[in-house]
Amino acid sequence: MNSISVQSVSVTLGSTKVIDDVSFDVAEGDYIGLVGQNGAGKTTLIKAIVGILPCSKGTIELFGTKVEDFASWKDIGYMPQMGGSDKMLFPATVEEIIALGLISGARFPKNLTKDNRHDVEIAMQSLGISSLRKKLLSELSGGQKQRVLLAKAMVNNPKLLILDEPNSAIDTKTREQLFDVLQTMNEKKKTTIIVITHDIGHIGRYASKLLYIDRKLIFYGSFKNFCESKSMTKEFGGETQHLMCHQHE
Amino acid sequence: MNIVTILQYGFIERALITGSIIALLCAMLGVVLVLRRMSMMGDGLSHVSFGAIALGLLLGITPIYIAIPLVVIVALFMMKLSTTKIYSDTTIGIMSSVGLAIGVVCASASGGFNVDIMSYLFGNILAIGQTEMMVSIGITLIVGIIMMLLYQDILYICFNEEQAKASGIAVEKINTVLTIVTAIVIVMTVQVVGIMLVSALLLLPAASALQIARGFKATMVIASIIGVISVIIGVLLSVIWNVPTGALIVLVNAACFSIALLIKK
Repeated sequence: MNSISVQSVSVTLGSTKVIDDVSFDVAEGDYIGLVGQNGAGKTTLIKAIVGILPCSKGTIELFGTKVEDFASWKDIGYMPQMGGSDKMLFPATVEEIIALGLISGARFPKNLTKDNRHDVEIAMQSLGISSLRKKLLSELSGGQKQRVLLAKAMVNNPKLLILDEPNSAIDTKTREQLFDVLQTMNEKKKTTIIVITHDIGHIGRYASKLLYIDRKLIFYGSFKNFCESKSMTKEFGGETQHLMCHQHE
Repeated sequence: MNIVTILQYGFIERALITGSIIALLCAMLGVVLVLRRMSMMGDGLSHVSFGAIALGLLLGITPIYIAIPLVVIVALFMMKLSTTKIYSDTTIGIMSSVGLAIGVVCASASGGFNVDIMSYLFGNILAIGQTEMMVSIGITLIVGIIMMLLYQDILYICFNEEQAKASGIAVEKINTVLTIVTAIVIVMTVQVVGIMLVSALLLLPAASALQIARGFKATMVIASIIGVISVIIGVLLSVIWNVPTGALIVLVNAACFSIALLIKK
């Protein structure tokens, strides 16, 4: 079964068509790098996939169910761009924020169960933030915040993990740690992963496929095919394409 | 006059009970409004309340009965406008001015700013009757249960609305419920501190708690304690010193906020 099926989808914001007739499938266990220039519609496409924005045309299915009817949201981990990190005064502790994904939808204030605490602990350990559990978001650095938000997205052990520019605001070492964690999830748990990024060369080292959009779908295939694609040479110019394909070697 | 003597008066008892439960609601709701950057909503809706109350007085209807449905309708209209066509602060500004203008016209038509209008403008908690107290307790119970029931979802929405939506939370429905609850609480609060001071009771306890609390639940609890204590101290001091109660409640709240700021430093 496909994790995601996008068929002839268009998304219109105001009077602007931001996504125009895009179709693709993401198989379970795929690791997709969603790339494109600023304003290409990457975030809009992801927001439509997770049901935040409606499609003006076409259909989106998650695990075989139309997104409008989809109910197993605990199977989806989503980390939006700068998600929550602008909430400088938000009073929740790191532990509370990570646990949000576990007890969302519950009625009345809930204390974490033993199993919940275990899941939060595993998520914190995998990202090296156990020592931050009692800190407030406002007391963390940009990189620490990013790791907390990633821990929140993956605490449910989701089948599909979608991250919108996870490597913004973090240093190179933290970035590599983060991508190692993602790779482990993809290889060992067969988690389907989609990462939005501008760094095509970097994501090319990890992703099984690149999805390049510019309002329309421009390219969908392996990094190797991307580097060898004549249409991509035409899109970027030979020198830029070579730089993207070889800068991280 | 000492505190024991003061507490023996029925009107003081009613003021303390009604004031405390409304302060509790305002504090909890205030935390949600502040975190969602909707602080000015309280101010805007209190001005709309003024228009509705003045209309009620003009028509000879108990103001709270006309104010609650009218303010709820306006609040929902404001929510609809700000999610589609206009920035929310612009919507609040427009409704605030229109509400105030309607209030002034109605007050003028009913013979100018009489005692009734003045008591709603600056609050008259000591004049709260048995029926108003029981209505306040009933509404507080209903609103309190709704807030507790939706606590986890509200927490998530306060943190990040989009993430909450992507987790399957019915954000629009909960926003509608919160808007209705806010409108009702504001109309009730008008009775305690008056239209001019509503947003203070709504925002000061929340702003104080946010300076010192660690954790969302702790913020709610601390804001509630500050809100209730401010009402109790404000009511008692206002009787002892013979100064307007609403204003004193706000000043005690402001003192708590200053202390919280100092503690944070």
